[in-house]
Amino acid sequence: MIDARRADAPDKAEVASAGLFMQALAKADRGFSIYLPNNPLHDKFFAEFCRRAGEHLEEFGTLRLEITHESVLFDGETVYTSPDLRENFAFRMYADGIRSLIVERGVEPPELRTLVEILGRPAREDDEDDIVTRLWSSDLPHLRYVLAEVPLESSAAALDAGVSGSRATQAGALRRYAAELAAAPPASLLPPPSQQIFSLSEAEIATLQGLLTQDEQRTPLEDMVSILEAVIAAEREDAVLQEFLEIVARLCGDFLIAGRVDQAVELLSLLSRTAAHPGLPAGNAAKIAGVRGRVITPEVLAGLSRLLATGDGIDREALRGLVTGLGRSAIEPFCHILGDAPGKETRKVLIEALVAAGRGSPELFLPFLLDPRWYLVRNAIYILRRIAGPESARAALRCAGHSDQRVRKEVMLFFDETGDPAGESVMLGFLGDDVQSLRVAATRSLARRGSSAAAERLLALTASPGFAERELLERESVWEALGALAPDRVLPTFADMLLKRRWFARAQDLDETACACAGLKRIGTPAAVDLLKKAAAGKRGEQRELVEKALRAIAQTRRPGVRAGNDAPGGPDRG
Amino acid sequence: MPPGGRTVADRIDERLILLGKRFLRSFFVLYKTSSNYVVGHPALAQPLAEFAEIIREFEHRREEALLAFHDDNLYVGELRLKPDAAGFDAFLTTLRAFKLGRIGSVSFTGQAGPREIGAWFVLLHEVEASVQEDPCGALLARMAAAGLGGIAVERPGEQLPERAGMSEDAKERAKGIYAQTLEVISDVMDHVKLGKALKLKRAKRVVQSMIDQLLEAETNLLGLTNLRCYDEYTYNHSVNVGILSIAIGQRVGIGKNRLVDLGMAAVFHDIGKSCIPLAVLNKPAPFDEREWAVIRRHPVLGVKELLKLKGADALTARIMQGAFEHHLHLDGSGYPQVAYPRGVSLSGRIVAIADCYDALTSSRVYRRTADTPDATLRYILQKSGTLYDPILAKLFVNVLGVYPVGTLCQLSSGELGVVMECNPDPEQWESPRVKVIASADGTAVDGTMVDLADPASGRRIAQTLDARRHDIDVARYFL
Repeated sequence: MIDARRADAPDKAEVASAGLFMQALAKADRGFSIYLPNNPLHDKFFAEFCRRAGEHLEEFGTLRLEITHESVLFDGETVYTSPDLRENFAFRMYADGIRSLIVERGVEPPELRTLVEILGRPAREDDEDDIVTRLWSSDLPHLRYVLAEVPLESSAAALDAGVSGSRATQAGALRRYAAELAAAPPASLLPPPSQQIFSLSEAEIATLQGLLTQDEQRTPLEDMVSILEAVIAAEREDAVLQEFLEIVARLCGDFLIAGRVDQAVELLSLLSRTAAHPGLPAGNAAKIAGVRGRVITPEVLAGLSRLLATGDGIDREALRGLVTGLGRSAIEPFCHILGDAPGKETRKVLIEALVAAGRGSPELFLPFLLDPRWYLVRNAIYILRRIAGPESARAALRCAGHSDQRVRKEVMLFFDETGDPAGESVMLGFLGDDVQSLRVAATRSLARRGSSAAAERLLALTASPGFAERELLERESVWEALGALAPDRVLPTFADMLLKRRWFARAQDLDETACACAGLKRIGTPAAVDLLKKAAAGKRGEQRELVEKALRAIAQTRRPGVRAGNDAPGGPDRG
Repeated sequence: MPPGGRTVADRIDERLILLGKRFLRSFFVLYKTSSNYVVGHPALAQPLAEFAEIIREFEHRREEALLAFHDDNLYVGELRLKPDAAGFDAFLTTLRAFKLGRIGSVSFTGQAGPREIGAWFVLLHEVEASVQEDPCGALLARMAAAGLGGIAVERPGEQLPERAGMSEDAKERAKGIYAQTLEVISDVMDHVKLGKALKLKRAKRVVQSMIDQLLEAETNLLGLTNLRCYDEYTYNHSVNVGILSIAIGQRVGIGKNRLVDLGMAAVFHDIGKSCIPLAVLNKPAPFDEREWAVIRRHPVLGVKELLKLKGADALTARIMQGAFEHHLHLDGSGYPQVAYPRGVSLSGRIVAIADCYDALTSSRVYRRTADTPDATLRYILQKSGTLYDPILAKLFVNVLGVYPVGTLCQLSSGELGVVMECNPDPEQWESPRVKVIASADGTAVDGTMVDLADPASGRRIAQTLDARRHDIDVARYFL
């Protein structure tokens, strides 16, 4: 469209309007950089810019702005400048080679929005796109730009290099060819080529569209991975293979530092698949699998730690896949990351993944049992507990005397859950622990094990002078354990505890009743039931309730499918 | 690239483009149907109603329902309709109708109902069927006599005035783009040789320019692909493969932004050759088996260098496809010999054809004899389905014509000529535009361009010639 007004010299009103356009653009740019999209000011400034643009184009037609290294000019007059070149988008455009920016009538708000976004985004060093390529990619129909002419020192020479021979040589060659043709003219003119073979059938068009769709659905990463897989599996030259493996390790690390964990996992899966490829040259499988150990460099580890410390936003599936993909080589770095106390969810995922990665290699966790951070030691023991096995037990045993009760508790849980034979002595040791909860847990665990040594120790304990001073919970647990471990020996004691009348010692009576009931519930024999029934007849109030509750519990356990005894130990409280 | 790969213009123009395509399709259907049925026949009712509906939609969008023909291109309003495989029939038939009627443009408003539209198509067929010196004038006269309202026809050249006289500029621009691309490739290859990190910003820009140029005036850049490499110091081959690949990609219907990926993959398909000693590449004798083995490493070395010097990003991955796949054949032959279950990508298939064509038509140091363009095209078609994708091979012929641009030929007049532009109409592919370069007695002339499709030219191609036979260089005619 030819704008008749453009032929005339722009008037002051037009210059002023261009200035307002630029002011509004600058404000919109600032609005976009300062305010979040949900902030009303974000849209307010942009709406103002759209209004100004619309008004100018409506009144004056096409707006052509000239760009210098520091200013935007309209008809030779500065309509925008900024002293700080980092903030100055005239400079940004100029640096990328734009010399004019042309806005045409009909420009739509989405185009203006894209313009503001592109101009406002400072280029990064590693950016493959500059303002020009971004404007081009955005394909803005009412916004055009004129680029600086690129001086091409060698352009003429480069094009001439594609031409051979001089004009005279060419003339001679033409004469010779014409003479040759005159001597042997063609027998007949060429028959017209068949058209049919060059037009596409409906089926071919459909196939082509299918290919196009398929191609559009292929992600760049998938393409890269499939190429790398093909190359690595087929490579016979060791030096080149090593280079490719180094590249994969580095890319994997780069992805991790950039937080693209899923992409790193893709590369690790590629290594696993390729290492299992049939027909690999001898020794290549080990080399390929070995790359996993080179992924986590100190720099990558630091990057990962930062990433995981920022919260639980990371894709847990990807994280799990990463540890699994790295296999044994994940243990050391990820134990270090556990030591950095990442968020709870991340920790859970990491621990689960380390359990999977550590199967068969519990020795790799040993260094972390000596770590000064109690939570890291406890997590390491928990992982060993999940891995189980004699080697894990030996490792856990080393921490039985750890100074932190939370670590000792984890050790206790280890042996309680694994049922390792070494656990009995550890549990017996815990009976003398300073911490009541540990003593109680150990008592219960020993009861479940049916430890005869524990029976003797517990009987002795009940006879010791300080036992009566211990809290009811602990005393109950001891009597309950004895009910399981030495029922015949404690039945008379329970009878005494239940039937003996203590005048003016109601509280003690209640405690004794509770302890005896705990033990009798565990014994659960007819003799125990008779004793409880007899006691029930002579008791009232709370004591009677305790006894009846014990009777109901025994009746319950006698039903098929109901197991007597204490609950299994709880899961770890990872903290 | 914007999120989701869609640009603002995509969003703005998408509906207009779709409407334009429907408009063209509907025009085509009516044109065909009205040639077989008289007005009032029930077979015309549906196409007429649909056509009228499309015009209403244009009015609703405040756009003009205008179909224009200029420079062998069709436009809906100001939007150029890019021919793609799916709508090629409609495109060609409409193009022919405009040419036959010497019509520049036709526009419809809501004033024109099904009756007027139907009558107009009848008049068009009548004019085309009668031998007229000025078919467009005759059409205008009959329209006036019939009092058809809401339909306006213009002669060629009366529309799109800003496009007139642009071809010289476009030619110069094309040369500039070609030269810039050569420089950029040279820079990148030097970086690879020195092991320096790759920056592809400039390369991306020239590929974008290449796409613009090919969308605007394809012929100029296609002509420049006749500038061949004679050694491995220059990178004409890479530029040519880039141009040819993008031209094929356009025919396939690949979107603008994906064309950049394709162009980059094509331009840098031989990046791995920078790792091969020039002594081998430029060996002035045929390669022995060991040297071939070295040459065949370049796809893998290309992948390695790209990843090493550029890192892993979307663009690298796309370029890798061209570098890795351009010697992999459809039937699993070619090199590198690898298990590649994913199969050669669309880009890889396109680049393979373009690479083969340019390589075979060039005489390099190690390959003294170049094949003629038409012979190379025949070779590609012969190998389509085994080495090359058969559909893309057909589309490649669509790009170059059966007498590819740069073909040296003898005309029925005895003159020698070079094919400068193929005829976009496949039914007239045997009649390209030819520049006469020598008279029948062999005298070199700076001859005129002859459109062999124009009966007034009185010539046709008698035979194609092998330019290398007498060292005739056709490239100079494109500069």
